[in-house]
Amino acid sequence: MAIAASMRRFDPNLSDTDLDTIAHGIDDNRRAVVRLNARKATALKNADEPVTRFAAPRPR
Amino acid sequence: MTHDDLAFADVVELQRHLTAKRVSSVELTELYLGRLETYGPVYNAVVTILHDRARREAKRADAERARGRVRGPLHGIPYGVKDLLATPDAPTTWGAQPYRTQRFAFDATVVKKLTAAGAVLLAKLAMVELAGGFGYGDADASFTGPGRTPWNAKYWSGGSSSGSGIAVAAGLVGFAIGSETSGSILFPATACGITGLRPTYGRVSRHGAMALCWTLDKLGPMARSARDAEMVLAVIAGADPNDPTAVDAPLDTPRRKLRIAVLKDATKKSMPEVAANFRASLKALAAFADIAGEVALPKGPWGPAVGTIVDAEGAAAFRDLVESGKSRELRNADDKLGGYVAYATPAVDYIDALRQRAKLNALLEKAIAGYDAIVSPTLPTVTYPVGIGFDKVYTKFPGGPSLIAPGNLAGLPALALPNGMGPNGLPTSLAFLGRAWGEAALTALGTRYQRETAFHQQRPPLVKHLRAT
Repeated sequence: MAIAASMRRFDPNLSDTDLDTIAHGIDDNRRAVVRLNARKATALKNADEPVTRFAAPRPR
Repeated sequence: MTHDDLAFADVVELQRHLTAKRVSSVELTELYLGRLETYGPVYNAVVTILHDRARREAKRADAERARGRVRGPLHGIPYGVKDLLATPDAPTTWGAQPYRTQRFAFDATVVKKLTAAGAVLLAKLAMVELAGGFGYGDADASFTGPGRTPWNAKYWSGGSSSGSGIAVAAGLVGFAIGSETSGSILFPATACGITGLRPTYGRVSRHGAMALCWTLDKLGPMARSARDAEMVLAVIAGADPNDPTAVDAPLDTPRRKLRIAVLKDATKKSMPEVAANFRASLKALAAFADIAGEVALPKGPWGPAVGTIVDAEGAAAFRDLVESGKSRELRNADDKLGGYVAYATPAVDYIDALRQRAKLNALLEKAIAGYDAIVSPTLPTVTYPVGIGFDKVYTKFPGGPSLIAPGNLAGLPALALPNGMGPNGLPTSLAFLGRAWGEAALTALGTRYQRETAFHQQRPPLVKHLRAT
């Protein structure tokens, strides 16, 4: 809720209902993100690097 | 040949008529301008019609043809672009009220290439605001109003390339350019019963296109046939010094029988009509392609990975909008607040999504190895009704595994084709997911499929006024 409330610095007119909606949205994202690392088969280890320059594999 | 015959002809046929001088580019352009004015507002397809530019380019095309100069297969062909592509002639609105008067002084690279090919730009076409980046929850998500499919105006055109889908289906343009971050070409192609091609990431320059998500956005053709989509792609593809991610890569069709895998559980929990049409499509494909096996979608957090990347990159792309408080000017209730949710994405979550991306993409590449395409229904249902939240619609048909998020995460190409009809006069669709840089195999499959079937030639029952409900 504190994160949602901090959005009032961008729009002081955000209502309490708006903040509730934002907070729920953030919570939903947090729950989804838990699934990023849920499976043993794809669990992230220290050596796993991010794709920082994305490109589809080049044609062979 | 009636006006409707011309309006609904595909680009190959239009070029034949132009070559035979049965019609001029100026006449074709006036036909489409009239149709955009008549039908565009009914279906909420258009932001701006570019009368002056269209007439100027059509006149030039005809004059060049008269001098014996035909630039290629798109010479004199009128088209439209999703209104996230910069053009100097009119505002480039991104479908969003806060950007309604925004102007750029240049043409996007895709538009430059089409102009150089002799095509005629007719209109900036409607789109879901910000290409859907803030998470809209129903069809009313653009200042132009909800896009409506020409097949049944009570139903959504799909998005975010809503206007591009409508304009092609309703015969308002010869072809259109759309974009896809995750579904925004494939969904409107399904909803509007047309052919949509999402190219490999990096095939087409994004210079001059609104960025929602730099590592997921792709521009692609939406057309009345796979052969048209292939022709348009050949023109717009290629390296661009203004977009370091765009590269040159061949578009060669393999000279052998193409191999297709069927996605396992593809029709699980789909509408019966979608499943039946898909089975019929497989029979048609088996006549000319090798249906070589079944592939299961590798298990993994495809949705959360795509969602987190879109949130983080989208919040950065529209940081000024969020921080100015102007996201409250957006149309859709979810969009008004969704930017704040996206803005709150922790950096560690975004980086973890990029780490998962590497692992998941390797799994998908392995799954598709040995095939030219994996085939599945594009969506498990027909398109949604306007006026009802997406989460309340077709709850009995959540569908099985979908290739939309995985294909986009991996930057792979996909082609959606109409393959029959479903409830309420709405089209169903099948999709081919291809290997990286394998668009030519997809369009070869699509072209051959469309030679054996006629779904792509069906015309929607257009109306000139919406009936009050």
